[in-house]
Amino acid sequence: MTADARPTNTGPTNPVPSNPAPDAVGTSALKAPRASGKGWLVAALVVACLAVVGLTALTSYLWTVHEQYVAQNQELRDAARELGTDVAATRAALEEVQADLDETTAQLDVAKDTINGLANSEAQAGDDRLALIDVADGLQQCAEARQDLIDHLNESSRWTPESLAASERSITRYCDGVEDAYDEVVNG
Amino acid sequence: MTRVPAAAGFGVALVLALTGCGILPAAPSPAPTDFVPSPSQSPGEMTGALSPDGFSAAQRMSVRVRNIGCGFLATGSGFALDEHTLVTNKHVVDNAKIIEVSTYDGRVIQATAASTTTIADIAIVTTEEPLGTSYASRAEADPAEGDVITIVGYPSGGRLTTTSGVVLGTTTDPLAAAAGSVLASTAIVEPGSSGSAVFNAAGEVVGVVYAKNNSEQSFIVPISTLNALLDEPSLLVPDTEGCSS
Repeated sequence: MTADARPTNTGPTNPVPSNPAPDAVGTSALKAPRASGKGWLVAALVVACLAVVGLTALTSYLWTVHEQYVAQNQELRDAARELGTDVAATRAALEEVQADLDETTAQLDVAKDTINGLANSEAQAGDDRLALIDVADGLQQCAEARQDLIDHLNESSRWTPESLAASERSITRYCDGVEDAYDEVVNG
Repeated sequence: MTRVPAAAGFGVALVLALTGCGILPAAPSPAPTDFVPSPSQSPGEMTGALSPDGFSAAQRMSVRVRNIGCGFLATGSGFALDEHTLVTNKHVVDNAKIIEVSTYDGRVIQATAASTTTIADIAIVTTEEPLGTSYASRAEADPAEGDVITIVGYPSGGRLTTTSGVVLGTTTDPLAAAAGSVLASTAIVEPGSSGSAVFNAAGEVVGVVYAKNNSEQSFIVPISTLNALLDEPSLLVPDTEGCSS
């Protein structure tokens, strides 16, 4: 800045101030517009800087979070694919096991039926055995009775014909009953 | 006055920052790595679960009773109360010289003693050899009218058979031999079914089959009568072996 450019208090070329300030209050009022403009500028700069910093931080944060989500998404996809493969393999194995179980259950049903049938056969055989023992006892008594009758007939002089005939009828009736029981056991 | 815009700008930035944090997405939480399966139903608890040998508990506790009398042979059914005790009907073991018991798997066991009562067609038979591993769980109360019942026994002395029916209600003993009331049901039984256990839906014994009529209705000694007999042993009289006539 040169000496010619320095402002002076005299001369008609100086347009400001047109009226001298009567006191200090007037002097201050004259300086306010310049200070207010700088303040707004500073404020705008501060706000702009803060905005830039904030946006940078926000962008950085969002980018970081985005990267983390992308990474975890990939991780979860990999895990889901692996689990899906495992589930598919497990389901296939389960189907095989189920098929084996169905087959085994069917075999078990057959085995149960066979056991039931064998137990029944055993029981029926036991019944038949006991019935045959009973019939055998009856046949033995029949044979003994007939032997007694023969002995009596051999000594018929000691017995009346009526008593011998009655004895024969009784023995025959008993033996017929035993034979019927035998037929029932054998023929069912 | 110069501080006002700066303060306002700072305030706006602060408000934006604070409110912005509230709507910003949070970082992802760690992916789960410890997958613990929720417990599934045990195969042993599933419907149709297999028993050790494929037979149900009701089938395993059921026995075929053979009464070898003097000049006759009769069969009936029964069920195990415990390892050496079974329940059957009094008329199944009447006039027995020998009582034999056959299990579902074909084992034949000799009975050692039998006790009967006059208040119901019930007999308690004991054995020396163990009857098996499955025993009756007795219900506390009698079945109600309309309840579904299952009967397991040896009709006609044949194969182990399971039949189902519905309780028709209580009635008086059609044979006029038992004290108190009995139950009638639609389950079809045959001679030889006498002494069969009657099960409810829970698998508990709720009665003992003892008779049928021409309308294909079966008659059942209710579990309350059996429970009363077992709670009062003095009501049971030992049966003497041998033939009454």
